[in-house]
Amino acid sequence: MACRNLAISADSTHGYSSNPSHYDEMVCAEDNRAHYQSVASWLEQTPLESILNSRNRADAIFRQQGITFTVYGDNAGTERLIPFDIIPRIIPAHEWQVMAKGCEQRVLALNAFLHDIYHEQHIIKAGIIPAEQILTNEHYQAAMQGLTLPNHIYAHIAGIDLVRHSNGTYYVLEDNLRTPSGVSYMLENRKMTERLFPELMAHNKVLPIDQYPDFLKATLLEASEATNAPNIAILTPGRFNSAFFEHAFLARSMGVNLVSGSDLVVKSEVVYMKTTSGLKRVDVIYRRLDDAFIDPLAFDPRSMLGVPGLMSAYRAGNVILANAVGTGVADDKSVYPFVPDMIRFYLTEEPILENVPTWQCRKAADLSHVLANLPDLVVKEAQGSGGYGMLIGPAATKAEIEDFRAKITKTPEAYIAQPTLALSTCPTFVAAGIAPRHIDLRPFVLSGKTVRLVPGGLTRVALKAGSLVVNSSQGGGTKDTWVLAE
Amino acid sequence: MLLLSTAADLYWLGRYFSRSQELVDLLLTSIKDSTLEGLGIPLSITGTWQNFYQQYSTLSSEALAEFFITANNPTSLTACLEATRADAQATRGRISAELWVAINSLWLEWQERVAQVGTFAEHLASYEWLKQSLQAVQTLLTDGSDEEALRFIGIGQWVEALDNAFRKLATPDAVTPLNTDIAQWAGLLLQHISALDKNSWQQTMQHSTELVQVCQLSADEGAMMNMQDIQMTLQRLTHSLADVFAA
Repeated sequence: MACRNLAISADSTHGYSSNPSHYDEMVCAEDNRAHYQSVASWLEQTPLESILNSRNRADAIFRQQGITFTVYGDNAGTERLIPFDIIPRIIPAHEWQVMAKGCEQRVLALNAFLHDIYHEQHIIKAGIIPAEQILTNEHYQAAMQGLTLPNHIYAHIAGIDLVRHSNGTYYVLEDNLRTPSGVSYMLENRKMTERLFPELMAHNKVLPIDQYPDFLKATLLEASEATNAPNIAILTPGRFNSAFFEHAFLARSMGVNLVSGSDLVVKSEVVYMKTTSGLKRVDVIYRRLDDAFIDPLAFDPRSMLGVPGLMSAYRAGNVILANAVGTGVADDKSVYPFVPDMIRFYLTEEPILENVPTWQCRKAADLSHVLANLPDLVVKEAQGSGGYGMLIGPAATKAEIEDFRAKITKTPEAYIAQPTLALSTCPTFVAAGIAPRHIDLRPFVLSGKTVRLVPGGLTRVALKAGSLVVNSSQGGGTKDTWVLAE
Repeated sequence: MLLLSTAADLYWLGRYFSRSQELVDLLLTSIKDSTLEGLGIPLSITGTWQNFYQQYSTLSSEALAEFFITANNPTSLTACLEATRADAQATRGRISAELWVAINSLWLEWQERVAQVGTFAEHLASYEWLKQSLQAVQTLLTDGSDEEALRFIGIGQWVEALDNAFRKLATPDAVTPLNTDIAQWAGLLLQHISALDKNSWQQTMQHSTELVQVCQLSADEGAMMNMQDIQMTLQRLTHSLADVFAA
């Protein structure tokens, strides 16, 4: 019997009812999936008022703890909560094992690709990826050519966005290799669930994730070739950055310094931080700044956030940047279609996780298909992120479609298109009660001398009925993600 | 190892927190005072007579209670608490989670209270609540294992205590601390500063030592303090701190 929790409104008698055209994480036909049984029973037995109280309590605690993100634009500086949905997303062990292996495989290939394109460029010479798609890419950094990094790792921290289609298969929606964020919410969501529902968690044998800061620190230490204990710092744009909470959270969790550009100085190609006892050398910088801003001498000269001379120290091998400079070329959406080929080329393996079929508007045949089918497709800027610059054809107005048609026609190479995926749904507590909402998942993959993942990731949820946009900047929320022990 | 910028934020965290404590204590005494002299003391100490009379025509307990929570007064309790919270936020990668949550919660609740207060009794109740809440947070400011961070908070608190004491001494009718107390506070400040790296903080140590000497002299002789000398010494000390922070 599927969960039949009632909606909040007294006159409603509808239980949780998923859309049969989407894969629902909890319900299959009329039954609850085996790994959701206890949560479904809990939902069925818990009055909605009690769930509402728990949600309000969670909000109050998040607010007290300042677990917020900063809003840009009209209300600049305003701190907001990312909506937390208290109903967890559950992944059975056998599914996670495949996802984890698939993510690991993907990141191994992407790191091999990054090393290759900044060195011998075998993949271009083999004719697998056209040279112009790499060498003229805005995120390809010529300054990285010939620079060999320890362990050949470029993307020390990667966030792989996964979605599940209506057929139940997981697809990789995109790879985030620059400064993927959200891991602090993954960890704080878990703490909140443990606080609110300890018995439910114990009953479900949820695998722990609190080792993430240790894994991250180990990864950053392994990135350095310094003989003494390497000194790590996290470089933040500052407390008005939308992700400042996460930067501070990670610094505290790892016991490392959180620095701004003005805290660092480069002397004789060595990076130092200004401390109360003088200058102290920095060996590894986990930077949460994009390439363009890290060094005004090497990149954008207007940057007030970076460190003059940082690139010269980096090129001299005196400091490690995580992630490396120039990783953005590998998470460009126009390069994404080649990742399965990278896996075959570098690892001689078949991809474990599938890519979403992608049309590259730079190709004449693809462009023609895209322009003829805009109302059915999702169109993305090749270098976009955060859910901005997207067209979701089925949800767009005619004017929006025509606006995109003009943009694509003008600069086709700047766009890719994909079929509109029916993202899976998960029970979510909303104003009307418990309802299915679309979700994705971002596991975080750490690459040092070994690859490390904690079981789970950040589940993002589109809180509006029918919406496929899960980004927090666009009104999305988050859920705790449970990976169950076998 | 402590970043200079973090040390500066911790120092100001200590100063603004202590300023909030001093101000709420002062206000709780003054707004219960029916004399104009008594009511005027917070305005003299914070240098806000002009600002006050731009917003109110009459000095009364009610007006004074309201003035020190409004956003139009940059020396208000609201402004002090907001600055405290901003410094805590800037250092949340370093201070304990408990301290951050305590300061953030205090700020959130203060905002809610300020939005709701109307009557004089409600203002008074909010001030009383704040006094108790600040006392509870004070223990977190001095406890903990991060000696370096606590040292800079402590320096901020003692500098603020001395600055406040000198302002009171310069204000007619204000209840002033004893010279011996002031000398003791200067000594405690020197203790904190002496623990700093001698190469980086030499100038600050020198000014701190001078401050102890002038305060001790007044305490020993039981004489009126030479206010100008003492204030100049404190000013040199705070300037030397700012110079190192900005290096």
